[in-house]
Amino acid sequence: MQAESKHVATLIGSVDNELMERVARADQAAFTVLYNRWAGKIRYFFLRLYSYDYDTADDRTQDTFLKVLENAQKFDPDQRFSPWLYAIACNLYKNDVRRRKLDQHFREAAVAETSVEMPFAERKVEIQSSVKLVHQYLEKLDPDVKTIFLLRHAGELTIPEIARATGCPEGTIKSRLFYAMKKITENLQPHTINEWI
Amino acid sequence: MKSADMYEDYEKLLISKDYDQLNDEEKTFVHSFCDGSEGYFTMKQVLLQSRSFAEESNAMTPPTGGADQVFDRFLVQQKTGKRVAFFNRKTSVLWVAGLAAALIFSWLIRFPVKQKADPMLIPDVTPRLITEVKTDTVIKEVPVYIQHETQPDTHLPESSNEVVSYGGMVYVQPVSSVGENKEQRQGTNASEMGDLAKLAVTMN
Repeated sequence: MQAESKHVATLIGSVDNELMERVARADQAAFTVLYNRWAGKIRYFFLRLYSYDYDTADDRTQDTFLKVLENAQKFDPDQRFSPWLYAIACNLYKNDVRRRKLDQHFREAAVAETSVEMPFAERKVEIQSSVKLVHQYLEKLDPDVKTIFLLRHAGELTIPEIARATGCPEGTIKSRLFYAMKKITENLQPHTINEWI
Repeated sequence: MKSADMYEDYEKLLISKDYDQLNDEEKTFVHSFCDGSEGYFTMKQVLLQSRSFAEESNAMTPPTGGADQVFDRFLVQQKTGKRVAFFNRKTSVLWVAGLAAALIFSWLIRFPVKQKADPMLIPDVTPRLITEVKTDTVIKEVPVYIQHETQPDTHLPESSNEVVSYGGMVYVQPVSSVGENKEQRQGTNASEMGDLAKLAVTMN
C-alpha cells in the first residue's frame, strides 16, 4: 500500500499523455493520478448538464473513467487528453438525452429546481458562483447548445477541440456559441448588469 | 463571410477591449454581432462571468468512491467479461422488456403464423407483357330443369262434356255412351250423335 502511494506521488508531475500510456498498460497508480486530476472537472461538467443532480453526475463521472480504462489503448498520444475525455463525457450525456428524451417539460422542471436554490444549501455545494442568473439562463438552452457552451467555458476547449469532441463542424460550434451568448444576454435585464459592476 | 464564423475574433475583442477602445473597423465588425455599445457591454459581462465556470470546475472535488472503485470495477469487468453497474439502473426493466420483445419478434419472423391464403383476396400484381389480343370463348351454361310431367288432378263432373285445355293439349271428356255394350249402343246412334253435337272444341 505504501509502495503504491509512493508510486502515485512520483507520477503526480507527469503530463496526461504519459499517464495515459501507463493506464493503457493497466497501471492503477497512473489511473489514480489522472482520476484525481480530472474527475472533479468532469463531475462539474455533468452537474451543470444534469441541473445539479448529484447522483446522476457522480454515476456518469464514474462511467466516463471506466470508459477511459476500457479505451486507453485507443488514445492517440499526439492529441490532448482533455478533449478526448470530454468527448467520452459528451457521448454518455448524448446517450442519456436520447434515452430520457429530455423534452421541454423536463428542462423546465430542471430550471424550476435550480431557481429554488435548495440544492446549494442542502448539499453544501462547492459552487460559489456570483452569477447564478447566467447559470439559470444556461439551463434554458437546448442540451446541445448547453454542452458546447460548457465545453468552451468550463472545459476550456478550443473550437476545433469542441468540434472533435461533439462530432459537429466548427461552423456549427461557432454558431451555437454565439446563439447561446445571445440567448443569455437577451434574458438579462439592464439593472442586473449594473449589479455586477 | 458569415458573422458567426468570426465568433472567435469577436470573443477576443470582448475579453480584451471595452467598446470605447474599439477603432472604427472593429466597431463595424462588432456591430454584426450586437446592436451597439449596450449590447456589447452586456455580452462582455456574460462572457467574463462565464469564465468563472472554469474556476468552479477546477475547484470541484471528485465523486466519493474514487479511482480505486472505478479500477476495481474495471478489473471485475475484465474477469467476467460483463459490465458491472455501480448503481441499480432504472432502465434495466426496459432492457428486459426490449429483449423479450426482440425474442418474440425474431420467433415470428422465423416461424410465421400459417394461414391459408384466400386466392380471391390476393391481388395478382405480376407484370405481364401483352403482345396480342385474344378473344376468349365464353361458354354460357344455361340451367335446364327437368320435371316429371304431372297431370293435375282434374275433377270434372262425369255428366258434363266440357273441353278442358291444358296448355295447348285438348282433353275431351269421353262420351258417356262409349263404354256401353255395342249391342246396346246399336240403335242409339242418335243419342250418340246428340252427345257429339254438344261437343265444342276450344283452343287456347
